[in-house]
Amino acid sequence: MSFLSVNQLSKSFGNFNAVDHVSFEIERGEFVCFLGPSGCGKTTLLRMIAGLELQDEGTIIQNGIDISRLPVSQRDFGIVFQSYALFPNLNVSENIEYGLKNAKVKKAERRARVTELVALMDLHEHVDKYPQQLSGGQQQRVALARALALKPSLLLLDEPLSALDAKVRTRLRSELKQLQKRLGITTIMVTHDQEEALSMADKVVVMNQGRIEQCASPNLVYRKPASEFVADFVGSMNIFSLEAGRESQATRDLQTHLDLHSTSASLAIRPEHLVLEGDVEFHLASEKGVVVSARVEAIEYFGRFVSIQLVCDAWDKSLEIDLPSTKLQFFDLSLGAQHKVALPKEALHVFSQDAETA
Amino acid sequence: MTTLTLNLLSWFNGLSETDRTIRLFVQLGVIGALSVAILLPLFSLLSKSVEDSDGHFVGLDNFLTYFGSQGLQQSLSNSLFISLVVTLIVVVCAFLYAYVLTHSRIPVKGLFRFLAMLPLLAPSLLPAIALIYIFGKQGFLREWLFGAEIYGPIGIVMGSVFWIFPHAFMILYTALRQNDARLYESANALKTSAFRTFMTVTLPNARYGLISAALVSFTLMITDFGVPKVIGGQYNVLATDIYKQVIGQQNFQMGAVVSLVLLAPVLLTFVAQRYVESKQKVTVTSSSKPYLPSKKLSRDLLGLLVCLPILASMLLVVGTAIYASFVTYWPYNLSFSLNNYQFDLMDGGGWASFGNSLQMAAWTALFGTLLIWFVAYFNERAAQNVLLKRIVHALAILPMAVPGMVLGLAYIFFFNQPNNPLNSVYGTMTILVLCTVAHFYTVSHLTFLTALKQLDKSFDEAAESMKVGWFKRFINVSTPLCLLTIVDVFFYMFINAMTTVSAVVFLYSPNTILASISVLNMDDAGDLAPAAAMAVLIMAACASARLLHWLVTELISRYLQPWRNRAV
Repeated sequence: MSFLSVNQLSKSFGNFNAVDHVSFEIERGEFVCFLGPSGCGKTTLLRMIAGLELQDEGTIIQNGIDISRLPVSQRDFGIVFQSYALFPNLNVSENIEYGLKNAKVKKAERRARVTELVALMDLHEHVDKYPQQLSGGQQQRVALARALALKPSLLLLDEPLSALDAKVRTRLRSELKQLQKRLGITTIMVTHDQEEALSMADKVVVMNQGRIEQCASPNLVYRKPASEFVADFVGSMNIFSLEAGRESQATRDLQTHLDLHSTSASLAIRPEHLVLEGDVEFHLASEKGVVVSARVEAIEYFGRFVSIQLVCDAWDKSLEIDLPSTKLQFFDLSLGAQHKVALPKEALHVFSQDAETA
Repeated sequence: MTTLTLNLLSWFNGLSETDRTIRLFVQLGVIGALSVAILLPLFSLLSKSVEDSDGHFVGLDNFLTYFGSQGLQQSLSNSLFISLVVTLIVVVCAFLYAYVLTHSRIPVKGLFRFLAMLPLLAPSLLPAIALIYIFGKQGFLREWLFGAEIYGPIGIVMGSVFWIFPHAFMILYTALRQNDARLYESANALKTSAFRTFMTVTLPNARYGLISAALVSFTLMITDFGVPKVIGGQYNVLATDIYKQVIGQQNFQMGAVVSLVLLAPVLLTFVAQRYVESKQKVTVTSSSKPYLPSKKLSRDLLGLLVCLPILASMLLVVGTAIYASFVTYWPYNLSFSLNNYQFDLMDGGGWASFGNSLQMAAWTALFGTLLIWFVAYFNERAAQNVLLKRIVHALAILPMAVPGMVLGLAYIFFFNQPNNPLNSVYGTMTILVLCTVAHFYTVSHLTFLTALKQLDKSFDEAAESMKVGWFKRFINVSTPLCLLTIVDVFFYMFINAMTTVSAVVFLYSPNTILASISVLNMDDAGDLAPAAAMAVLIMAACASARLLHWLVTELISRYLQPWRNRAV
């Protein structure tokens, strides 16, 4: 039996279906990310698990107990809000102690727990400060300490890193992940940042328009996106419809290779999987895939790699290719230069249009 | 930083010599006008307090006499005591009322809020008169006082609580509505009891509102003249003392001294108030979410149980005044009659006083709004000399710290000097308008400042760079954009001018007697029912003005400011 299981959970606000018959399972100790664009229902889903929002239908079972209708006060979780919502009139240690006082924990015990958490979060120098006197990262640690004070079995994080600047965010990402592993606490984090989700989660739940598009490990979500939406949302992806270049040789080649009988499908391939002629891997890739011709339209430098926009004659569509900077010198990348590009078969994802509409 | 400096440099260089001179002259003109309206009269008051009746300098003799007089000292302690009591009751009631309206789901909240504002439409004399009908010698609820006398501290407290309530309520309602929903969710997620949530989240967030409401209530009470005058009986307070010294005994010097004694606590609360306001701004951040109470029947019922008695007693006061004004002869003949509205048959000023009031209020609203708007705009967006700007700002804030009676008395001293070239306005409608504009200057000025803050400065900078003169900008850009605020201030001025007593009680002449003064005089003469009728009439005029205000606002936002209607 999994630790948390959500069955057919739905919630609508007026005519808007925020969460639409969602089901999934979470194992004990797992770090799960709800990932999706804003308005996809991920925060609503988290708030229903917390009991801050009441579902219209469906059940939530935590640790074998049906908590679907329990008030917040009887559920077992700790939560960190997007903007932390620390009590501005209480200092750091009072904020951490807040929930312990509610639970009528004895004073000595409370003190001990606060000391423990202050040590865990490395907040020694800040215990007497008020939230306004702390940096964003420090506030986040206080919020985390406050959420963990009552030793909940489930930790809920609502976009906890989004209020921080980029550098701090990357550092806290690994800190948070390590902390979670050390405590072994089952954690659900809501985020719209796919990089954050891929780097931190054991399991990613990709959501769109109130539904789950895919629920799998980061590796699988990246390598085997379950839908065109996931393919497009997670990482960069070249997506093109076969319909547009129905008459071309390239399309017929692709159809043969992929054993496709109609042209009503979308194909997708990641920029790092495309191979230019002249590359050592080109020969292998062209044997196992399809070769199209294209010309250089634009180049963007990203330091470690270069992103090249190629216009593919067959579909009149731009393809994006990532090339490591080290290989740059081997190719003629002047604007308009013609190249052959190999699309290896095993890197191609096929999304049938019929399945999309079904 | 450098771009800013460059912008400023080119901006200054862009101004021609004449333009700069004109702006300087306008600044000086504004300072001159505000000085005549506020500063110089106050100075006359100060100098009067250190003179004897023949105009000789006597140092602090008058003050020594004052503090030597048992009766006057008693008034001081009475004033302080009663203001503290009223403040306490008002703040507690207004807090409960505002708390229920913001933290529960009782039905018809809008109606509760609207009715709580009713006292703003009536002069403070109205509750006092109504209380006489309710608890006076022939009052229908006099047994409820268990033999205690309504004339005196009890009556003053009750009447004052009634009319001060909406002022405290508005402040607390705003403060409590700004409570951040995220903190309540945090508390909820940490399994906090309702009581502890109230103590650790609600109260700390509302603390500046509470202090602010207390300071405002205290100031309103200690400076109010209407309620103690009508229902105070033998219980003397500072405000009635000033009136008695000046009108009763013609002792202007002593009036000036009592005024200054009254000025002291008001100045203190004024400074405290400014301090609290400066603190208050930081608590609201852009990421705050408004608090939406969840459904809970037991709490809502309790809320109704708290709000309904408060509302009922307010409606009882208003209702009694209206009813009594339409009754033939209270309490013996309760049949309907309009006799009490035949003001021309009574002493006090007659119907003409009502006409005077409307005229005075209209002039005050028109002239005051235009002047204050112009000064606020010019000082914020066009004035160049920084020092003079600060002086104008200080002069604009000052009236808030001056009680109406003190201002009125200061006007007598200043404008009644034979050698004052403005002497001729004394006893005219002009001086009433001038004094009332000065009295309500600050709130209007601050309202305009808020509106201007929301108006992007780059409008002005862009226009300036296109060489559009500041006056043209004022007419073509800022005035249309701030039209709704201008209308708000206009009606604020109108309603306050209709209901004010304290500022004008020394300044009217037989030709310019006002409706609120006429209420006072009829009450003095023992004509309680006509006094009630006139007070009700004032209230009706204010209610109509309020309705018109709503209508004008609707029309403006619908037809004149189409950019406000966003297509969704």
